[in-house]
Amino acid sequence: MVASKRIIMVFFFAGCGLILSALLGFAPRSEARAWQGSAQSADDCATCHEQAVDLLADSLHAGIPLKCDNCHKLVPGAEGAKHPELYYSTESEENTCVTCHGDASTQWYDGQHGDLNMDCATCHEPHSLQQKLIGSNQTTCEACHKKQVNAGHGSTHAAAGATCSSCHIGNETGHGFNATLATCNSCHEDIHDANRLVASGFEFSAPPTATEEPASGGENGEGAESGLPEEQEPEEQAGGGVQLPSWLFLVAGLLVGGGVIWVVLGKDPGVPTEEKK
Amino acid sequence: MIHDIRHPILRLGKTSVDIFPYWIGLLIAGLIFGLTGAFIVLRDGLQVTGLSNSVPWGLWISIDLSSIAMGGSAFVFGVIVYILRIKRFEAIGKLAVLLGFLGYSTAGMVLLFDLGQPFRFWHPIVFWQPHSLLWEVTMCVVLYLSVLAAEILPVILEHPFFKNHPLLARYKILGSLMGRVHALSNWLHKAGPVLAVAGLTLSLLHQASLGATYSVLAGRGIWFNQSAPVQFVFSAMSGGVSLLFIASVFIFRVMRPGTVGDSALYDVAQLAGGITLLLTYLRVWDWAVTNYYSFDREIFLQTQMLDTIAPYSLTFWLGQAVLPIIAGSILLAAKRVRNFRYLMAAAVVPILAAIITRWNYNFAGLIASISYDPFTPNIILNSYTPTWVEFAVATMVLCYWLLAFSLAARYLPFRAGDDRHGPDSAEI
Amino acid sequence: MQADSEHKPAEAHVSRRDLMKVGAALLGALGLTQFIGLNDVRVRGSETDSEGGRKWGMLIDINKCIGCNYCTYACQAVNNLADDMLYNVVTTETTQSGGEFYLSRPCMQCAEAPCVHVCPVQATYYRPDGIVAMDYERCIGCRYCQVACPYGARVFNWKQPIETSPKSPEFGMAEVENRPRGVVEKCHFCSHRIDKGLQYGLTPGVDREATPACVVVCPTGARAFGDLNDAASPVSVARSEALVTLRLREELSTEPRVYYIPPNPKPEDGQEAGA
Repeated sequence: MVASKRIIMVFFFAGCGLILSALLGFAPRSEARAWQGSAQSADDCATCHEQAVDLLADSLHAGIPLKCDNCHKLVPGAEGAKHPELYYSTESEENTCVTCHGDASTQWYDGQHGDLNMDCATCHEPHSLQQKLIGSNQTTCEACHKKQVNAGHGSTHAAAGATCSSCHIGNETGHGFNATLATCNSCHEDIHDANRLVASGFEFSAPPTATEEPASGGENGEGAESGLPEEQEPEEQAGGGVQLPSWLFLVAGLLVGGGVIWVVLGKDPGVPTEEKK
Repeated sequence: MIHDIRHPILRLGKTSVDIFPYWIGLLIAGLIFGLTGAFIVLRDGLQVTGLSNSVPWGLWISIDLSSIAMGGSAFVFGVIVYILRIKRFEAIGKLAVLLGFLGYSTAGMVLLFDLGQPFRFWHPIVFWQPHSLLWEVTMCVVLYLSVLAAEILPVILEHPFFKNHPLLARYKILGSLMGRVHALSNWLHKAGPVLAVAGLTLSLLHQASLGATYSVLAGRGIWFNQSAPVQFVFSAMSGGVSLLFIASVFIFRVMRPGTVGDSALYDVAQLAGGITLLLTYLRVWDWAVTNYYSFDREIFLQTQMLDTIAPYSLTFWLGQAVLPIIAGSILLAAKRVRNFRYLMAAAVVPILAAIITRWNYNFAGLIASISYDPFTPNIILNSYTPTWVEFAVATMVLCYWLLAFSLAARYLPFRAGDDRHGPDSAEI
Repeated sequence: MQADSEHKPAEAHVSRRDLMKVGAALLGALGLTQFIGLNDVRVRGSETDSEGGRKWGMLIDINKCIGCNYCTYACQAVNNLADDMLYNVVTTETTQSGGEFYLSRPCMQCAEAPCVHVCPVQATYYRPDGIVAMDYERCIGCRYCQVACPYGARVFNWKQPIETSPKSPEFGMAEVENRPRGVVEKCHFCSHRIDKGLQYGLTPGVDREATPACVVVCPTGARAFGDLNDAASPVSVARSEALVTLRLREELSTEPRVYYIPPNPKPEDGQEAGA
């Protein structure tokens, strides 16, 4: 009895020690952010935000002496705060973009986009100045103007290689995006000579099939759980269920078949015994 | 006496070849194959599985639920042997404890791989969230596994290896260590009834909670089912006792004839049959309540969708209603049938029924899930294809189970009574 | 055989008594299972809207949503997510009359969140301001919360976290630490912005720096954010101005804190869940 008591004690203390060390050693803790200084120059910024600094250096803005803090400010009223503790915010575009790009800004804010309070950064990546979403199969326009872009994809304009910007942005239209008669006339010298293209033997290439994507998105927008057209996989839509490999059914079939054969033809397992004292 | 134990040998046909080494070799090969898969899972994380955000629980959880169900005989026979003191079943009770331990340790092993952070497996023990059913299940499984380990230890220590091995005499420290282990084992053996009560409570709690784990999720339609906890308990009992019947025929009739009489085996079969029939009765009522008395559109739609991609209703009617009734009746009439081939074949049915129940229950709500859109909510069918890594880990735990069972079948003396107490205690 | 017949009378007697014992045990077992009622499982959350204090909420005007996915992208940039990790999802849905609309779905930040109820280690919990937050150091990755969430708002981190999100810097910079592989992640209403903003006297919902990235980036202003308990906050103002608002799957009593203004042409569509 004494021995067993001692063993219990040993186990008890070992268990307590284990739990305690677990609590001390592995208890959840939040890690502090590594960087503790305060931002002074663009070089400081590049230590963490290399990507944005590089984009800026490669952009048209690289030529003019533009620094991070031209656009990014710590929130007014919180000057005492250091950066990683408080995030930098962007100055309003009236103080940044508009300073130089007044024309585009005026055109933009006069148009319907401006009516919806959209700003420069809605379409432009502010460091590279490129349009957003370039590189994925969505264009900046397509993100919102899905129907128009789809209609455009099926049109002769698309077959002729025209994109949104062919008509909606340019010297005449600018950032207002309104196509003018001059836009049409730049290709169609005499728009009223309707079948001129056909008459001249122009062969239409098949319009790019942009229809499959919205059709699947409409029917089964839930299915892929993504909502992103580029991630929808066709096999996700074809039914569902648990797909088991065929060898599993083979093994199961062999087992069941063997069992049945044994039950029908086999011998009783073991030897009959009775309880003996 | 103890010294007379000869290891039972299973021969292939009429030849004198002992198939045991080959069988163990095969299992070890399977184990090594599985371990490669396990290593890949630990190294690369769960991205190597076929699981996704829409079907986050897959093959492993089904195996986990099933193996816990397969251990369901341990608490039933814990009660029969230690609380009701029916001595006739003592040897079978030891086997039940072994099956319970194997079932639960298998489940624990699978669950470990199913965690995204396997090395945080101890978190539920330290960070308590008593509202969570999974927490309750984890705690119960951990505690019950300890109870089962405490119950199985004396059975294992009965083997003469641990008493009469020459090394024990040669090295004093080993001898005294073994002496302490034996003292602990003695103490645990005396605590048998307490352990049985603890085991009964714990396993009833979590077998039920496993069902409740799914059935509290109102957002999943087909899972939201008040009777799931009761169903899980009874299906674990029916599947577990059926497995125990098959295992005891193998151990006590084939491997060690004479240890347990046929009549005790018939009693086990009758118990399995009775529980199976009771379970089927409950299940059919549950079906009626869900589909007939309180018709639910979502569950109807989910069932309909599942039927389009898999024999969902068929497995219910055939696998969980018709076949269990036939098999349960055969098992219940074991003393009339008196044919162990038929009885074993019948006992396979409740086991498969328990596994199919858990498989279907796990996947039904995940594969056919309900969308959240406000105006036209519908059922979405998700897809899940288990990868070879998942099958490898499954093979690993299956081989572990079979390996441990085979070793036990050959080496453990499953005998009624306790040798330490002399032959007197082995009365009926 | 002979031995069998000898033992029979005694055995039959014993087995009948045994049977009764077993039956009693079964009844006891059945009784025990009934203790585990389902009623106790759905406990009340520790925080409710009526308790006062700030409760952050969001209102999404479906009429203004043009399905541009900018909210998703901004979220990915700020939380440094790979393209296949989506806290916020925009889908195309239909009304009963067949009209299509875009449904943008962040985490609902339920007051009775199923994910909080089911988490076995309290890795997901209610913040005092009602946000359902995650403790990524504690999460064991069991994915029960994912299974429990009726909105599919939780995403598991299947792969190693990426260094820089492909949506950065176009839609913003990473503002939070990367989470380890194998934990379940979720939208947290950009709680880091809210906390820092409040610390420096900003008003979440009004000041851009203290407002969730998805709200700030929305080009049409479809999202309003703020304190639901403050009648002057943008979200409360928008809610009071709206004819009707609804919440997703309200029949589940999860009490989401994200409200929607249903599509206009058929305002009666939203009556079933009118506020």
